[in-house]
Amino acid sequence: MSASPLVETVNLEKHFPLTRTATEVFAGRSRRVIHAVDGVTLSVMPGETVGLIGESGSGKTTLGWVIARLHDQTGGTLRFEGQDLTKLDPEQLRRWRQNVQVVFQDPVGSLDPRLKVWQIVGEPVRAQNQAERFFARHEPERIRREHRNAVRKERERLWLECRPAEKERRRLVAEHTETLATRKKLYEDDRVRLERQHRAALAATKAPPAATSTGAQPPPRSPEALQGLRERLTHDYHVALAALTKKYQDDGARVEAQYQEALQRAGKLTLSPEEKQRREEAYRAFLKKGLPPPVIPKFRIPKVLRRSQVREMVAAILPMVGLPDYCVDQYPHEFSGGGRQRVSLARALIVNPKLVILDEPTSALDVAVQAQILNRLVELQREKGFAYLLITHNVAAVRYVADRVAVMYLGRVVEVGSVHGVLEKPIHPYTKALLAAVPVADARRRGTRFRIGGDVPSLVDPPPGCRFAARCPFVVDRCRAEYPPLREIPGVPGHLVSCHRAEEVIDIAPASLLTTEPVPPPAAPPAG
Amino acid sequence: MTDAVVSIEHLNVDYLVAAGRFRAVSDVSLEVQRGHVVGIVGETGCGKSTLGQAIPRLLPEPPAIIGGGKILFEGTDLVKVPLWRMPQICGTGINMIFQEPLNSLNPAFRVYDQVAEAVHIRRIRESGRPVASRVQPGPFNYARRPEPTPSDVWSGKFTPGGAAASYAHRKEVERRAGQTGEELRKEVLEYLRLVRINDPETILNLYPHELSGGMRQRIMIAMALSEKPSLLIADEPTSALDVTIQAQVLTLMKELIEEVNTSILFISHDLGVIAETADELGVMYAGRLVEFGPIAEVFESPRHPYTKFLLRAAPTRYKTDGPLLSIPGNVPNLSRPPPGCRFHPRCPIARPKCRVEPSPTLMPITGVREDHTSAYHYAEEVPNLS
Repeated sequence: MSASPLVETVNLEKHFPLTRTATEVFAGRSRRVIHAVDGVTLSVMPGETVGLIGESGSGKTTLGWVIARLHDQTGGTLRFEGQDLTKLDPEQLRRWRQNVQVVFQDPVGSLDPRLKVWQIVGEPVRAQNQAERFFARHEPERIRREHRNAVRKERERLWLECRPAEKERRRLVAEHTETLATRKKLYEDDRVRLERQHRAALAATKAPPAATSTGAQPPPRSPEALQGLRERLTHDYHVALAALTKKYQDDGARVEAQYQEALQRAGKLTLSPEEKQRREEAYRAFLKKGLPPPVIPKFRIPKVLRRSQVREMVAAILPMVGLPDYCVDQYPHEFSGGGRQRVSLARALIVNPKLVILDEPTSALDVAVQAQILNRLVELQREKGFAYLLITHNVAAVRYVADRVAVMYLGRVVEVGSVHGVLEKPIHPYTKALLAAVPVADARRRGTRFRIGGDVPSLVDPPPGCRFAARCPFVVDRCRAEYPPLREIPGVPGHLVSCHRAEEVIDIAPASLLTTEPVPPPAAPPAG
Repeated sequence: MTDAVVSIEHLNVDYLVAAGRFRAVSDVSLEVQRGHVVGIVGETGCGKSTLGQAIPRLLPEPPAIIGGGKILFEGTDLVKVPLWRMPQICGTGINMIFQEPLNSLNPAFRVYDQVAEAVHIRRIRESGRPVASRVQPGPFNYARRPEPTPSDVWSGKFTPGGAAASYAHRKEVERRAGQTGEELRKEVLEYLRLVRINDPETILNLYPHELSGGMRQRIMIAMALSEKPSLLIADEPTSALDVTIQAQVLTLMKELIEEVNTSILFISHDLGVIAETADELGVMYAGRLVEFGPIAEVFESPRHPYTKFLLRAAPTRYKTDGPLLSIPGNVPNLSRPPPGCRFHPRCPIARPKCRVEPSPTLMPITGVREDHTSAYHYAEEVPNLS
């Protein structure tokens, strides 16, 4: 990998907060979140296609939106050409947007029915024009402002150098504020953990006694005994909580005392007279001279695009996606599904982006039209060198378009590798299951049945270990307890898998997840 | 002669549009044998769904017009049956599963109510009572308040509102269905277990929006099966679902075919899905059935260029292997179907005869199995596209 990646995410997270009910607020429960994207590390090289596959609800679309900066991430880093995107202010972001464009999932819903094609496709061009105008007009002012800030900062730094006591005091205050925040968070974590344990213990008393591994049933307990048990648990909880609070308060007093003492010591710091004079001279010299003035290049403010210009640009881009140029004056409803998808594609390509995020581009289309669109996508990439992030659950489309494939499950990437590697020799059990589930136009496969059942677990409280553990046929105890990090498998370079048993399951073929036996229905619960 | 659940003969369905008649289905003949699954494939706009909805007469007439032909369902010609009698035939006889499970379940009712309705309508039918009245009620006048006469109250025709009314309503429902609420609940649970829903007791009390797509589709299947239909029309039942969920639903449908012994008309544009479920395959193009036969036969030796194109359009290769084969052009506008074979404008191997002479109706092909039929002039040869 000599070239630097176009987009790089490191442990990218997007959590959506859930609203709390009034009871939950009063009970002091912390706000729960949906872990839509939970620590994704992925990169897209320039001119490369990365396919992102997985079930719905696995966070594929959210990841795409975060990369396009349509959602703000809640954690991790997102870099575009080495630049951290969180640092951009809104205007810079607006100018940046031409680099990444999205083709949205639903070709009907994403095109405004009241606008003509030239208005729809020309919209990004106009927005870009606006952003450029704003940039050219305000950039000199921004450079001057930054220069002023730099001067002020340098002046304050030199001033502090003359006053060591004040400098030390400020450092101590900052450090102390941070310590307080960390301690508060630690306390809060401990308290929440305690509360959760207590709630679990209470719930356990209510549940019917579980059969032990030896098969012996524990004797049923009477309601009075249960009530007593619950009261004792609550009492223990309150005692533990009081002890925790006491420990925290004592600790706090000690920290506070240390802090005051350090402040006193800092107040006595002084400089030697000659050193003091030297520093004050430097300060006065700076007041006189300042920093060298900023270099402000000459910005030419682009003209507002005329309607005819936009129409011409749109008419020029339409043949690229396989539409005749007279379509500029048509409305979206006049197109078939494939035609609408082409309009969406034209809208993404007109600003010449570096990365196009394709969100289920062919899922609403039938096979014949799908083949046309996929061919067009690949040809365009050869001509113009776009990078694609293809988000889909259609494995056939990924096979044809992608260079590399990432498989997502429940907000995490479970496998990344070259398209041949992942689709021909999948390693992670989930990838195997996904590939086995794809219907193949082959009448000989008729007798087989898909063996992996179950639904996707909740994203609010995702399981701590591997997220596929509940449905995995190869699960061991370790999978439930410990999250398997994404790691390279020896012997398969460039192929990353997040599975504890990757080496053991590497040779199991996806087809073996199909069976000819009927799947038994879930057992009816005992009557009563 | 044969044991056909439904046999369609020379069916034509047109839509009245501004440009004249849009011939959505023309001259389609088809038989679905008992316990068989018949797949219908074709591009968007080829009349697959129109065919599916014409059988239970669900199309709004007009604009749709059934312009000729017969739909023989267990001996009765559904084309001649007056519309008000259709509810008695639909349900126990024919049932449909639609593409969008969220749109076909009522968002305002719990799962239990919706499945229970299906079950108890079946009970009412079995008891011989009419399900729909002959007289169609007019639009309801919301401005008018019901004014019960004293004799209404006395004879029990009017019940006051509130809890008493809902109690009376429940009793009336139980009386008509001939089963108590407890029995109904048990039966509903049984059907939910049949479609492999874990923890049906909880699911019963949820609303459709609280379920995942696969669950919703399973509820739809449970509702369809609870009426024990002899023909199930599944219109793209898995298109809105993900691959693994789709595989679960397909597996389920295969098992249920064996358990309940229904015939299924399976409409889809996904050849993979059809290959997994169907026994026979019909290929539709521009409102016509162009090929029909046992699935293995059609997949192995397609005898119509369109079938061959469809089979080869499914992407199965990598970027480095060259471009995908796609069918040039679009489905023709069926208000003015092209002369000759309807596929000839897009067919790279069209011959002069194809351009002039209308393609024949489905004909058995000499040299292959007699149940493999094709509407291609040169069906004896396997079309060679390369």
